[in-house]
Amino acid sequence: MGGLVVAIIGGAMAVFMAGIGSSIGVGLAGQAANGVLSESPEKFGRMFLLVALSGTQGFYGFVVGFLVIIKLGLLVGEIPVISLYQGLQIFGACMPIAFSGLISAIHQGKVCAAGIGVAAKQPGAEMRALIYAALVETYALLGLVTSFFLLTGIRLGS
Amino acid sequence: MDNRYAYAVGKIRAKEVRLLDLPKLLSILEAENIEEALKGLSDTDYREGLALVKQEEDFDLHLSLHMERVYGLISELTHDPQLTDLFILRNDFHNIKVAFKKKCGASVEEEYYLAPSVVNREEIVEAVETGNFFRLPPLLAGTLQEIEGIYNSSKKNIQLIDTTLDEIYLSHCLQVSQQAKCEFLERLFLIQIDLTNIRTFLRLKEMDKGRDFLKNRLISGGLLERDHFLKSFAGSLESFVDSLRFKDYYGIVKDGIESWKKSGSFSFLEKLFDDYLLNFVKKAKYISFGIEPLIGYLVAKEMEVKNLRTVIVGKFNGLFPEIIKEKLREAYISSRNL
Repeated sequence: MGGLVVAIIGGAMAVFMAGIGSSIGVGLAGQAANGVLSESPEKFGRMFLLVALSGTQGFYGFVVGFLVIIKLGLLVGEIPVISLYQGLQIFGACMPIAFSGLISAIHQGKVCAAGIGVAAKQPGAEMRALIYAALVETYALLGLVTSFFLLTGIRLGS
Repeated sequence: MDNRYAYAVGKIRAKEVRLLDLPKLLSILEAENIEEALKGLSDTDYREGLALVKQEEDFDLHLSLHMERVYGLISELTHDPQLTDLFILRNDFHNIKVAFKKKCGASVEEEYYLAPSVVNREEIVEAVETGNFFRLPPLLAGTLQEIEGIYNSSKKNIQLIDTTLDEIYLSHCLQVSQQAKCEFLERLFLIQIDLTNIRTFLRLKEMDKGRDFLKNRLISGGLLERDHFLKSFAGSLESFVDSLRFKDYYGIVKDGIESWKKSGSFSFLEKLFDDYLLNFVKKAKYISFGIEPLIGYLVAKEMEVKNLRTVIVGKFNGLFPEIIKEKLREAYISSRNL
Protein backbone atom coordinates (compact mmCIF):
# COMPACT_ATOMS: atom_id res chain seq x y z
CA MET A 1 0.00 0.00 0.00
CA GLY A 2 2.90 2.32 0.85
CA GLY A 3 4.32 1.82 -2.64
CA LEU A 4 1.08 2.92 -4.28
CA VAL A 5 0.97 6.10 -2.19
CA VAL A 6 4.56 7.00 -3.07
CA ALA A 7 3.87 6.36 -6.79
CA ILE A 8 0.74 8.54 -6.71
CA ILE A 9 2.67 11.34 -4.98
CA GLY A 10 5.28 11.10 -7.78
CA GLY A 11 2.63 11.39 -10.50
CA ALA A 12 0.97 14.26 -8.68
CA MET A 13 4.27 16.11 -8.33
CA ALA A 14 4.92 15.79 -12.08
CA VAL A 15 1.59 17.48 -12.74
CA PHE A 16 1.60 20.20 -10.10
CA MET A 17 5.25 21.21 -10.22
CA ALA A 18 5.31 21.56 -13.99
CA GLY A 19 1.90 23.23 -13.72
CA ILE A 20 3.17 25.75 -11.17
CA GLY A 21 6.10 26.57 -13.46
CA SER A 22 3.82 27.04 -16.44
CA SER A 23 1.37 29.24 -14.61
CA ILE A 24 4.19 31.50 -13.40
CA GLY A 25 5.75 31.59 -16.88
CA VAL A 26 2.50 32.23 -18.73
CA GLY A 27 1.55 34.75 -16.04
CA LEU A 28 4.70 36.77 -16.61
CA ALA A 29 4.50 36.69 -20.39
CA GLY A 30 0.75 37.36 -20.25
CA GLN A 31 1.23 40.45 -18.11
CA ALA A 32 3.88 41.79 -20.48
CA ALA A 33 1.65 41.08 -23.48
CA ASN A 34 -1.33 42.78 -21.83
CA GLY A 35 0.84 45.83 -21.24
CA VAL A 36 1.63 45.96 -24.96
CA LEU A 37 -1.97 45.25 -25.99
CA SER A 38 -3.24 48.10 -23.78
CA GLU A 39 -1.44 50.38 -26.24
CA SER A 40 -1.49 48.34 -29.45
CA PRO A 41 -4.41 45.85 -29.52
CA GLU A 42 -3.61 44.91 -33.12
CA LYS A 43 -0.50 43.07 -31.91
CA PHE A 44 -2.53 40.26 -30.25
CA GLY A 45 -1.66 37.66 -32.91
CA ARG A 46 2.05 38.50 -32.74
CA MET A 47 2.11 38.09 -28.97
CA PHE A 48 0.02 34.93 -28.69
CA LEU A 49 2.69 32.26 -29.29
CA LEU A 50 5.12 33.99 -26.94
CA VAL A 51 2.52 33.93 -24.16
CA ALA A 52 1.40 30.36 -24.81
CA LEU A 53 4.85 28.77 -25.09
CA SER A 54 5.48 28.51 -21.33
CA GLY A 55 2.23 26.58 -21.00
CA THR A 56 3.73 23.46 -22.61
CA GLN A 57 5.58 22.33 -19.47
CA GLY A 58 2.31 22.03 -17.58
CA PHE A 59 1.04 19.85 -20.42
CA TYR A 60 4.18 17.65 -20.31
CA GLY A 61 3.69 17.21 -16.57
CA PHE A 62 0.09 16.21 -17.17
CA VAL A 63 1.16 13.61 -19.79
CA VAL A 64 3.57 12.00 -17.29
CA GLY A 65 0.93 12.14 -14.54
CA PHE A 66 -1.53 10.44 -16.88
CA LEU A 67 1.03 7.72 -17.71
CA VAL A 68 1.37 7.03 -13.98
CA ILE A 69 -2.41 6.77 -13.63
CA ILE A 70 -2.54 4.22 -16.48
CA LYS A 71 0.48 2.34 -15.15
CA LEU A 72 -1.14 2.02 -11.72
CA GLY A 73 -4.40 0.91 -13.32
CA LEU A 74 -6.31 3.62 -11.51
CA LEU A 75 -8.60 4.29 -14.47
CA VAL A 76 -9.87 0.71 -14.81
CA GLY A 77 -9.71 -0.10 -11.12
CA GLU A 78 -7.28 -3.04 -11.52
CA ILE A 79 -4.51 -1.90 -9.21
CA PRO A 80 -1.52 -4.28 -9.05
CA VAL A 81 0.35 -4.92 -5.82
CA ILE A 82 3.16 -2.34 -5.68
CA SER A 83 6.07 -2.65 -3.32
CA LEU A 84 7.61 0.37 -1.67
CA TYR A 85 10.64 -0.18 -3.89
CA GLN A 86 8.49 -0.05 -7.07
CA GLY A 87 6.63 2.97 -5.74
CA LEU A 88 9.92 4.77 -5.25
CA GLN A 89 10.95 3.85 -8.80
CA ILE A 90 7.80 5.50 -10.19
CA PHE A 91 8.32 8.48 -7.89
CA GLY A 92 11.88 8.90 -9.18
CA ALA A 93 10.76 8.52 -12.80
CA CYS A 94 8.40 11.49 -12.37
CA MET A 95 11.08 13.83 -11.02
CA PRO A 96 12.81 14.81 -14.32
CA ILE A 97 9.69 16.48 -15.72
CA ALA A 98 8.60 17.78 -12.31
CA PHE A 99 11.78 19.78 -11.79
CA SER A 100 12.74 20.59 -15.38
CA GLY A 101 9.14 21.64 -16.02
CA LEU A 102 8.99 23.90 -12.95
CA ILE A 103 12.26 25.70 -13.56
CA SER A 104 12.27 25.85 -17.36
CA ALA A 105 8.72 27.25 -17.50
CA ILE A 106 9.59 30.14 -15.17
CA HIS A 107 12.70 31.03 -17.14
CA GLN A 108 10.94 30.58 -20.44
CA GLY A 109 8.27 32.98 -19.23
CA LYS A 110 10.97 35.57 -18.56
CA VAL A 111 12.50 35.08 -22.01
CA CYS A 112 9.03 35.37 -23.57
CA ALA A 113 8.23 38.54 -21.60
CA ALA A 114 11.51 40.12 -22.74
CA GLY A 115 10.74 38.96 -26.30
CA ILE A 116 7.33 40.58 -26.09
CA GLY A 117 9.09 43.86 -25.28
CA VAL A 118 11.21 43.48 -28.41
CA ALA A 119 8.24 42.44 -30.57
CA ALA A 120 6.31 45.49 -29.34
CA LYS A 121 8.95 47.76 -30.87
CA GLN A 122 10.15 45.91 -33.95
CA PRO A 123 7.76 44.36 -36.45
CA GLY A 124 8.81 40.81 -37.29
CA ALA A 125 10.97 40.38 -34.18
CA GLU A 126 8.51 37.98 -32.54
CA MET A 127 9.82 34.97 -34.47
CA ARG A 128 13.39 35.70 -33.40
CA ALA A 129 12.21 36.08 -29.81
CA LEU A 130 10.32 32.81 -30.13
CA ILE A 131 13.48 30.95 -31.17
CA TYR A 132 15.27 32.05 -27.99
CA ALA A 133 12.30 30.99 -25.91
CA ALA A 134 12.19 27.64 -27.72
CA LEU A 135 15.79 26.96 -26.67
CA VAL A 136 14.58 26.87 -23.06
CA GLU A 137 11.89 24.41 -24.11
CA THR A 138 14.62 21.86 -24.99
CA TYR A 139 15.25 21.15 -21.34
CA ALA A 140 11.60 20.60 -20.53
CA LEU A 141 11.44 18.18 -23.48
CA LEU A 142 14.50 16.30 -22.21
CA GLY A 143 12.76 16.00 -18.83
CA LEU A 144 9.60 14.71 -20.48
CA VAL A 145 11.44 12.14 -22.60
CA THR A 146 13.47 10.92 -19.61
CA SER A 147 10.38 10.56 -17.41
CA PHE A 148 8.55 8.77 -20.23
CA PHE A 149 11.29 6.18 -20.83
CA LEU A 150 11.86 5.62 -17.12
CA LEU A 151 8.15 5.03 -16.56
CA THR A 152 7.80 2.65 -19.48
CA GLY A 153 10.85 0.73 -18.26
CA ILE A 154 9.45 0.05 -14.79
CA ARG A 155 7.76 -3.37 -14.44
CA LEU A 156 4.95 -3.75 -11.93
CA GLY A 157 3.14 -6.84 -10.59
CA SER A 158 4.73 -10.11 -9.52
CA MET B 1 14.87 41.90 -11.33
CA ASP B 2 11.33 42.75 -10.32
CA ASN B 3 8.57 40.61 -11.85
CA ARG B 4 5.88 43.02 -10.61
CA TYR B 5 6.72 45.31 -13.50
CA ALA B 6 5.98 42.82 -16.33
CA TYR B 7 2.75 44.62 -17.36
CA ALA B 8 4.21 48.10 -16.90
CA VAL B 9 7.30 47.30 -18.96
CA GLY B 10 5.15 45.83 -21.77
CA LYS B 11 3.09 49.02 -21.84
CA ILE B 12 6.15 51.25 -21.77
CA ARG B 13 7.78 49.27 -24.60
CA ALA B 14 4.70 49.84 -26.76
CA LYS B 15 4.77 53.54 -25.86
CA GLU B 16 8.49 53.94 -26.58
CA VAL B 17 7.77 53.28 -30.26
CA ARG B 18 5.84 56.56 -30.32
CA LEU B 19 8.63 58.69 -28.88
CA LEU B 20 9.98 61.21 -31.37
CA ASP B 21 13.30 60.28 -32.94
CA LEU B 22 15.76 62.84 -34.27
CA PRO B 23 14.67 62.65 -37.97
CA LYS B 24 11.09 63.40 -36.89
CA LEU B 25 12.22 66.40 -34.83
CA LEU B 26 14.31 67.63 -37.74
CA SER B 27 11.38 67.31 -40.14
CA ILE B 28 9.32 69.48 -37.76
CA LEU B 29 12.23 71.90 -37.48
CA GLU B 30 12.56 72.21 -41.24
CA ALA B 31 8.85 72.92 -41.78
CA GLU B 32 8.23 76.11 -43.71
CA ASN B 33 6.20 77.81 -41.02
CA ILE B 34 4.76 77.26 -37.56
CA GLU B 35 1.46 75.87 -38.92
CA GLU B 36 3.35 73.21 -40.89
CA ALA B 37 5.55 72.46 -37.87
CA LEU B 38 2.48 71.91 -35.67
CA LYS B 39 0.90 69.79 -38.38
CA GLY B 40 3.98 67.55 -38.13
CA LEU B 41 2.85 66.65 -34.62
CA SER B 42 -0.62 65.55 -35.69
CA ASP B 43 0.42 61.90 -36.01
CA THR B 44 2.21 61.79 -32.64
CA ASP B 45 1.18 61.51 -28.98
CA TYR B 46 1.02 65.33 -28.94
CA ARG B 47 -2.00 65.52 -31.26
CA GLU B 48 -4.53 65.78 -28.42
CA GLY B 49 -5.42 69.46 -27.94
CA LEU B 50 -3.03 70.57 -30.68
CA ALA B 51 -5.78 72.52 -32.47
CA LEU B 52 -5.92 74.92 -29.49
CA VAL B 53 -2.30 76.00 -29.95
CA LYS B 54 -2.28 79.48 -31.49
CA GLN B 55 0.68 81.08 -29.79
CA GLU B 56 3.82 80.29 -27.84
CA GLU B 57 2.10 80.29 -24.43
CA ASP B 58 -0.53 77.83 -25.70
CA PHE B 59 2.21 75.41 -26.70
CA ASP B 60 3.83 75.68 -23.26
CA LEU B 61 0.49 74.83 -21.69
CA HIS B 62 0.02 72.02 -24.21
CA LEU B 63 3.37 70.48 -23.21
CA SER B 64 2.62 70.92 -19.50
CA LEU B 65 -0.68 69.06 -19.90
CA HIS B 66 1.09 66.35 -21.87
CA MET B 67 3.69 65.90 -19.11
CA GLU B 68 0.91 65.78 -16.50
CA ARG B 69 -0.53 62.82 -18.41
CA VAL B 70 2.91 61.15 -18.54
CA TYR B 71 3.45 61.59 -14.78
CA GLY B 72 -0.09 60.28 -14.27
CA LEU B 73 0.68 57.19 -16.33
CA ILE B 74 3.88 56.49 -14.40
CA SER B 75 2.06 56.95 -11.05
CA GLU B 76 -0.54 54.46 -12.28
CA LEU B 77 2.03 51.85 -13.34
CA THR B 78 4.50 52.10 -10.49
CA HIS B 79 4.74 49.66 -7.58
CA ASP B 80 7.21 51.94 -5.83
CA PRO B 81 5.51 55.35 -5.62
CA GLN B 82 8.18 56.58 -3.20
CA LEU B 83 10.65 56.33 -6.11
CA THR B 84 8.58 57.65 -9.01
CA ASP B 85 7.16 60.48 -6.85
CA LEU B 86 10.71 61.86 -6.63
CA PHE B 87 10.27 63.14 -10.18
CA ILE B 88 7.03 64.90 -9.25
CA LEU B 89 8.60 66.24 -6.04
CA ARG B 90 11.10 68.11 -8.22
CA ASN B 91 8.20 70.33 -9.35
CA ASP B 92 7.42 71.17 -5.70
CA PHE B 93 11.01 72.27 -5.17
CA HIS B 94 10.81 74.31 -8.35
CA ASN B 95 7.56 75.91 -7.10
CA ILE B 96 9.24 76.78 -3.78
CA LYS B 97 12.03 78.52 -5.73
CA VAL B 98 9.47 80.51 -7.73
CA ALA B 99 7.48 81.40 -4.60
CA PHE B 100 10.62 82.68 -2.85
CA LYS B 101 11.59 84.70 -5.92
CA LYS B 102 8.14 86.29 -5.71
CA LYS B 103 8.64 86.95 -1.99
CA CYS B 104 11.96 88.61 -2.81
CA GLY B 105 10.12 91.00 -5.10
CA ALA B 106 10.84 89.42 -8.49
CA SER B 107 8.12 89.49 -11.12
CA VAL B 108 6.61 86.01 -11.32
CA GLU B 109 4.12 84.79 -13.91
CA GLU B 110 1.63 82.04 -13.16
CA GLU B 111 3.12 79.79 -15.83
CA TYR B 112 6.46 79.70 -13.99
CA TYR B 113 4.89 77.23 -11.55
CA LEU B 114 5.00 73.58 -12.57
CA ALA B 115 2.40 70.83 -12.30
CA PRO B 116 1.79 68.12 -11.26
CA SER B 117 3.23 68.48 -7.79
CA VAL B 118 2.90 66.63 -4.50
CA VAL B 119 1.45 69.75 -2.87
CA ASN B 120 -0.87 72.17 -4.63
CA ARG B 121 1.09 75.24 -5.75
CA GLU B 122 -1.37 77.61 -3.98
CA GLU B 123 -0.53 75.90 -0.68
CA ILE B 124 3.18 76.33 -1.36
CA VAL B 125 2.76 80.02 -2.23
CA GLU B 126 0.62 80.61 0.88
CA ALA B 127 3.10 78.77 3.11
CA VAL B 128 6.03 80.79 1.73
CA GLU B 129 4.18 84.10 2.11
CA THR B 130 2.75 83.50 5.59
CA GLY B 131 5.58 81.41 7.02
CA ASN B 132 2.97 78.92 8.21
CA PHE B 133 4.26 75.74 6.61
CA PHE B 134 3.52 73.16 9.26
CA ARG B 135 0.54 71.77 7.37
CA LEU B 136 2.83 70.65 4.57
CA PRO B 137 4.43 67.17 4.42
CA PRO B 138 7.42 66.95 6.83
CA LEU B 139 10.08 67.09 4.06
CA LEU B 140 8.64 70.27 2.52
CA ALA B 141 7.90 71.84 5.90
CA GLY B 142 11.51 71.21 7.02
CA THR B 143 12.81 72.54 3.72
CA LEU B 144 10.75 75.73 3.96
CA GLN B 145 11.88 76.25 7.54
CA GLU B 146 15.52 76.02 6.46
CA ILE B 147 15.01 78.26 3.43
CA GLU B 148 13.11 80.81 5.55
CA GLY B 149 16.19 80.96 7.80
CA ILE B 150 18.45 81.60 4.78
CA TYR B 151 16.00 84.17 3.44
CA ASN B 152 16.05 86.11 6.72
CA SER B 153 19.79 85.89 7.32
CA SER B 154 21.27 86.24 3.84
CA LYS B 155 19.55 89.40 2.70
CA LYS B 156 17.22 87.59 0.29
CA ASN B 157 20.05 85.78 -1.47
CA ILE B 158 18.10 84.00 -4.22
CA GLN B 159 21.13 82.14 -5.53
CA LEU B 160 21.87 80.62 -2.13
CA ILE B 161 18.19 79.67 -1.79
CA ASP B 162 18.32 77.95 -5.20
CA THR B 163 21.45 75.93 -4.46
CA THR B 164 20.19 74.98 -0.98
CA LEU B 165 16.93 73.72 -2.51
CA ASP B 166 18.87 71.71 -5.11
CA GLU B 167 20.97 70.20 -2.34
CA ILE B 168 17.99 69.25 -0.17
CA TYR B 169 16.11 67.77 -3.14
CA LEU B 170 19.00 65.74 -4.58
CA SER B 171 20.17 64.53 -1.15
CA HIS B 172 16.62 63.39 -0.38
CA CYS B 173 16.37 61.57 -3.74
CA LEU B 174 19.70 59.87 -3.16
CA GLN B 175 18.67 58.76 0.31
CA VAL B 176 15.31 57.38 -0.86
CA SER B 177 16.84 55.46 -3.78
CA GLN B 178 19.56 54.05 -1.50
CA GLN B 179 16.96 52.94 1.05
CA ALA B 180 14.94 51.28 -1.73
CA LYS B 181 18.17 49.64 -3.03
CA CYS B 182 17.43 50.92 -6.53
CA GLU B 183 20.93 51.16 -7.97
CA PHE B 184 19.80 52.61 -11.28
CA LEU B 185 18.02 55.53 -9.65
CA GLU B 186 20.82 56.01 -7.12
CA ARG B 187 23.33 56.30 -9.96
CA LEU B 188 21.05 58.72 -11.81
CA PHE B 189 20.89 61.04 -8.79
CA LEU B 190 24.64 60.70 -8.15
CA ILE B 191 25.23 61.87 -11.73
CA GLN B 192 22.78 64.74 -11.21
CA ILE B 193 24.66 65.82 -8.07
CA ASP B 194 27.96 65.77 -9.98
CA LEU B 195 26.56 67.72 -12.92
CA THR B 196 24.99 70.28 -10.56
CA ASN B 197 28.33 70.68 -8.76
CA ILE B 198 30.22 71.07 -12.06
CA ARG B 199 27.68 73.69 -13.15
CA THR B 200 28.03 75.55 -9.82
CA PHE B 201 31.84 75.36 -10.05
CA LEU B 202 31.91 76.86 -13.54
CA ARG B 203 29.36 79.58 -12.81
CA LEU B 204 31.18 80.70 -9.66
CA LYS B 205 34.45 80.63 -11.57
CA GLU B 206 32.85 82.88 -14.17
CA MET B 207 31.61 85.22 -11.43
CA ASP B 208 35.08 85.21 -9.86
CA LYS B 209 33.77 84.23 -6.44
CA GLY B 210 35.91 82.97 -3.54
CA ARG B 211 36.54 79.40 -2.40
CA ASP B 212 34.34 79.79 0.69
CA PHE B 213 31.48 80.85 -1.54
CA LEU B 214 31.87 77.60 -3.50
CA LYS B 215 32.14 75.55 -0.30
CA ASN B 216 28.66 76.63 0.77
CA ARG B 217 27.12 75.78 -2.56
CA LEU B 218 28.55 72.34 -3.35
CA ILE B 219 26.32 69.33 -2.80
CA SER B 220 27.80 66.42 -0.83
CA GLY B 221 27.49 62.75 -1.68
CA GLY B 222 28.24 62.80 -5.43
CA LEU B 223 30.67 60.58 -7.28
CA LEU B 224 33.10 63.50 -7.44
CA GLU B 225 34.25 64.55 -3.97
CA ARG B 226 33.61 68.12 -2.79
CA ASP B 227 37.35 68.41 -2.14
CA HIS B 228 38.02 67.75 -5.81
CA PHE B 229 36.16 70.96 -6.69
CA LEU B 230 37.59 72.97 -3.80
CA LYS B 231 41.18 71.99 -4.66
CA SER B 232 40.68 72.86 -8.33
CA PHE B 233 38.97 76.18 -7.69
CA ALA B 234 42.14 78.24 -7.35
CA GLY B 235 43.63 76.76 -10.54
CA SER B 236 42.82 77.32 -14.19
CA LEU B 237 39.89 75.80 -16.05
CA GLU B 238 42.37 73.70 -18.04
CA SER B 239 43.72 72.13 -14.86
CA PHE B 240 40.14 71.41 -13.73
CA VAL B 241 39.46 69.67 -17.06
CA ASP B 242 42.73 67.73 -16.67
CA SER B 243 41.73 66.63 -13.18
CA LEU B 244 38.70 64.92 -14.75
CA ARG B 245 40.79 63.07 -17.35
CA PHE B 246 40.04 59.64 -15.91
CA LYS B 247 36.42 60.41 -15.03
CA ASP B 248 33.35 59.82 -17.19
CA TYR B 249 32.64 63.56 -17.40
CA TYR B 250 35.93 64.46 -19.05
CA GLY B 251 34.62 64.68 -22.63
CA ILE B 252 31.51 66.69 -21.90
CA VAL B 253 33.24 69.13 -19.55
CA LYS B 254 36.11 69.66 -22.01
CA ASP B 255 33.80 70.26 -24.99
CA GLY B 256 31.34 72.31 -22.91
CA ILE B 257 34.07 74.62 -21.57
CA GLU B 258 35.53 75.10 -25.05
CA SER B 259 32.12 76.10 -26.36
CA TRP B 260 31.50 78.37 -23.36
CA LYS B 261 34.79 80.16 -23.96
CA LYS B 262 33.96 80.70 -27.62
CA SER B 263 30.32 81.70 -27.27
CA GLY B 264 30.14 82.97 -23.70
CA SER B 265 27.06 80.81 -23.21
CA PHE B 266 26.48 77.68 -21.15
CA SER B 267 23.81 76.36 -23.51
CA PHE B 268 26.04 73.78 -25.25
CA LEU B 269 27.33 72.59 -21.87
CA GLU B 270 23.74 72.18 -20.68
CA LYS B 271 22.95 70.20 -23.83
CA LEU B 272 25.94 67.91 -23.19
CA PHE B 273 24.81 67.41 -19.57
CA ASP B 274 21.32 66.45 -20.73
CA ASP B 275 22.74 64.08 -23.37
CA TYR B 276 24.93 62.46 -20.72
CA LEU B 277 21.91 61.86 -18.47
CA LEU B 278 19.86 60.53 -21.37
CA ASN B 279 22.62 58.16 -22.43
CA PHE B 280 22.73 56.85 -18.89
CA VAL B 281 18.99 56.17 -18.76
CA LYS B 282 19.14 54.48 -22.20
CA LYS B 283 20.45 51.44 -20.28
CA ALA B 284 16.84 50.93 -19.18
CA LYS B 285 16.01 49.83 -22.74
CA TYR B 286 17.83 46.56 -22.04
CA ILE B 287 16.12 45.81 -18.72
CA SER B 288 12.99 43.66 -18.98
CA PHE B 289 11.78 43.49 -15.38
CA GLY B 290 11.95 46.41 -13.00
CA ILE B 291 11.24 50.08 -12.47
CA GLU B 292 14.13 51.14 -14.74
CA PRO B 293 12.16 51.24 -18.05
CA LEU B 294 9.56 53.50 -16.38
CA ILE B 295 12.25 55.90 -15.23
CA GLY B 296 13.93 55.72 -18.65
CA TYR B 297 10.65 56.59 -20.36
CA LEU B 298 9.96 59.45 -17.95
CA VAL B 299 13.39 61.01 -18.47
CA ALA B 300 13.08 60.42 -22.23
CA LYS B 301 9.75 62.26 -22.21
CA GLU B 302 11.22 65.16 -20.24
CA MET B 303 14.00 65.49 -22.83
CA GLU B 304 11.55 65.14 -25.70
CA VAL B 305 9.39 67.94 -24.30
CA LYS B 306 12.50 70.08 -23.87
CA ASN B 307 13.40 69.42 -27.53
CA LEU B 308 9.91 70.16 -28.77
CA ARG B 309 9.77 73.38 -26.78
CA THR B 310 13.11 74.42 -28.31
CA VAL B 311 11.87 73.66 -31.82
CA ILE B 312 8.39 75.15 -31.62
CA VAL B 313 9.33 78.22 -29.57
CA GLY B 314 12.22 78.76 -32.01
CA LYS B 315 9.73 78.52 -34.87
CA PHE B 316 7.36 80.99 -33.22
CA ASN B 317 10.25 83.41 -32.83
CA GLY B 318 11.54 82.90 -36.37
CA LEU B 319 14.95 81.50 -35.37
CA PHE B 320 17.07 79.90 -38.08
CA PRO B 321 16.81 76.08 -38.10
CA GLU B 322 20.61 75.78 -37.77
CA ILE B 323 20.55 77.71 -34.49
CA ILE B 324 17.69 75.59 -33.13
CA LYS B 325 19.40 72.39 -34.28
CA GLU B 326 22.50 73.15 -32.18
CA LYS B 327 20.36 73.22 -29.06
CA LEU B 328 18.59 69.91 -29.66
CA ARG B 329 19.22 67.12 -27.17
CA GLU B 330 19.67 63.50 -28.22
CA ALA B 331 16.56 61.37 -28.60
CA TYR B 332 15.89 58.24 -26.49
CA ILE B 333 15.13 56.17 -29.55
CA SER B 334 16.55 56.05 -33.04
CA SER B 335 14.86 54.49 -36.04
CA ARG B 336 17.54 51.76 -36.22
CA ASN B 337 17.80 51.05 -32.53
CA LEU B 338 14.42 51.40 -30.90
